[in-house]
Amino acid sequence: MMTHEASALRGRPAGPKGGAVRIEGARKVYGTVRALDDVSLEVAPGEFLALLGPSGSGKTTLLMTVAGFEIPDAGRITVDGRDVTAVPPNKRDLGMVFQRYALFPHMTLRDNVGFPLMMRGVPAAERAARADRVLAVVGLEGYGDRLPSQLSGGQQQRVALARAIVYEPPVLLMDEPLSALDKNLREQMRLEIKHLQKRLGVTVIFVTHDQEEALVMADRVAVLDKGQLIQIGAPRELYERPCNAFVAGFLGETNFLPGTVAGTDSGGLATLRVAGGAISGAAVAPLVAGTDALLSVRPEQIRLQAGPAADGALGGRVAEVIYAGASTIYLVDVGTAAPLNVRRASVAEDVLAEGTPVSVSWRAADARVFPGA
Amino acid sequence: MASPSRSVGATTWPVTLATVLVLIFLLLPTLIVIPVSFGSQKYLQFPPEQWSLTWYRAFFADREWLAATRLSIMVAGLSTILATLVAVPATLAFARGRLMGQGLARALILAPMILPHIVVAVGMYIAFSRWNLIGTLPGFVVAHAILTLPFLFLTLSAAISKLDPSLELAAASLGAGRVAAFRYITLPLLMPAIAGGMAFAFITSLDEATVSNFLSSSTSKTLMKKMFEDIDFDVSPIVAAVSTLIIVGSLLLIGAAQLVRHASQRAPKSAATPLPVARSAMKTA
Repeated sequence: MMTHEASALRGRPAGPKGGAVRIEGARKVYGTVRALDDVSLEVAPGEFLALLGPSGSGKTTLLMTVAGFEIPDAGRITVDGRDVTAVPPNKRDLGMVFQRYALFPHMTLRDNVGFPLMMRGVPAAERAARADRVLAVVGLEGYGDRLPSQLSGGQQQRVALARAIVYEPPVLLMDEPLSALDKNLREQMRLEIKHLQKRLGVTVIFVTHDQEEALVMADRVAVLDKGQLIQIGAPRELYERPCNAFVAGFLGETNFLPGTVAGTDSGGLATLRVAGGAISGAAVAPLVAGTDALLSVRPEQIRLQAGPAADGALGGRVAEVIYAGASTIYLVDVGTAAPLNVRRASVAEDVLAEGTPVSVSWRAADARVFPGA
Repeated sequence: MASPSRSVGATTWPVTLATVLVLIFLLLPTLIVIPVSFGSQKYLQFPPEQWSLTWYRAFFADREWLAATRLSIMVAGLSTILATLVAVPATLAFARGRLMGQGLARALILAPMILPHIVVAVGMYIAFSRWNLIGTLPGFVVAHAILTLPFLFLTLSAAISKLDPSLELAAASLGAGRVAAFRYITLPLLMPAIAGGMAFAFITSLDEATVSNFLSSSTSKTLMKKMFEDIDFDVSPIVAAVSTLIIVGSLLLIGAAQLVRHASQRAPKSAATPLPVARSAMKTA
């Protein structure tokens, strides 16, 4: 869809295009709720950062402080070194895409997209030309005379995007822009937005509660919970090396196995005693022998083998087999409260029937052990 | 939207019939003044034996009637403008801001609509006579602006509550200051409601008799005051002619407000609210 050359958008010579955003110690309290609790992070020029968290995690509040709609009680926000903490939103020169697009219903698409240019004193003729050019970039060539109400949700989304990039802001803020779209369109728009962002080189801060969206789109993901920044890193890093049980559980699926610390080795691997035997994984923090700990292992990391428990593995029994197309999910009873969730590629000659005794194991380095229960 | 309304019309003809009967019941007494106004006798006659424009000619030849009409239109126009200038910023402040004593301010704005007009009239009479505003244009305009403000306030409040607040945030993020956001986004989207509220305020002012009765002087009286005087002294069919003119004028005004609404129907998500039922438009006869 967005096949047109994005460089048509840029009048100025090539160079560093995206802005650098720096948030230092941002705090915001509403009554007794800490919406932002000492959040600090940096976004590099041209980077795509996703703010991920459940509702009430502070991700939207954080975006709003960058946009200028919220002023933090404490802390500092800079864009390309300029302190904008107390600058009103209309003077920040950032682009923003809202959850429900917020297109002006009484204006044509051309006027909607031309609006920020009008606010910047661009003459009418140039405004219309630039608006049409950007509409073409987002795949809406020739739609300039239509009204927002005549468009589908996905098209309105593109207009909102066009309107936010037409004045070439260094930073684009997006507040759950895909949440109002249906699943197929949402998945298509993820890639379109990502490709457009790459071509424009604009820095993006993207709020979402959809972990898959964050993993697919972002260069780095910041996970927030209860107003605090829990972990920030590349999608793979977060998925494979979550720093606590919240991140492990929020990003993708995982199995939690509570146990008692039996010991740790010099390589950082910990062994837990559980009902069915001993299991091990990489310790994320120093562990004291005899204390409670929680092991997390992803469904696709677990190996199943028919037969009795091998050495260093857990013995179990296949409780349920769920065929899900490319993969098959095995619920395996290993004597814990909840059965283990194991995901294997669906290969015809390797099906374990329900009731089969199995040996359950994983590479210790693929599992994570968190202190506490 | 089209299919449910079609099925309602097709399946529930008793409801339609009842609606028509109620409308006839409501409108018929009002509409009787129209044929009466075209009579030629010196008293109110229905149906008239002879049709003529006698009483319209009499109306347009009478300087006192014309002066009262002119004053009423001036007062209605100016008080509507004044009330609108107060109502638009007030409703915006109430909807978007966090004001101290907001509940009290709202009660004060709505009070003239709730209190009996005679109470308001006596109070205004006492205050206005002290300030020498009795029988003056500013006196009438201020009084009527106070009386029509509640209607504008309620119409606009309803419209603003339907306006998506993120439109104003979007405007700000795109570089618009408060004034520009109001001028290019909020005001155009509120225009249908403002037009409807103004038409309603204008008619309310034109129709107002109680307060006008107290504020009128022997030389400066509104059309309603003049009509009441006329009914008291000689009951000429001029009153019927004036009533007919007011009905026609009110309908034209409501039609104009509807046109403004339809012009903005191009944008279906605008904050168009249904026009309040123009109760006063039909009450005069």
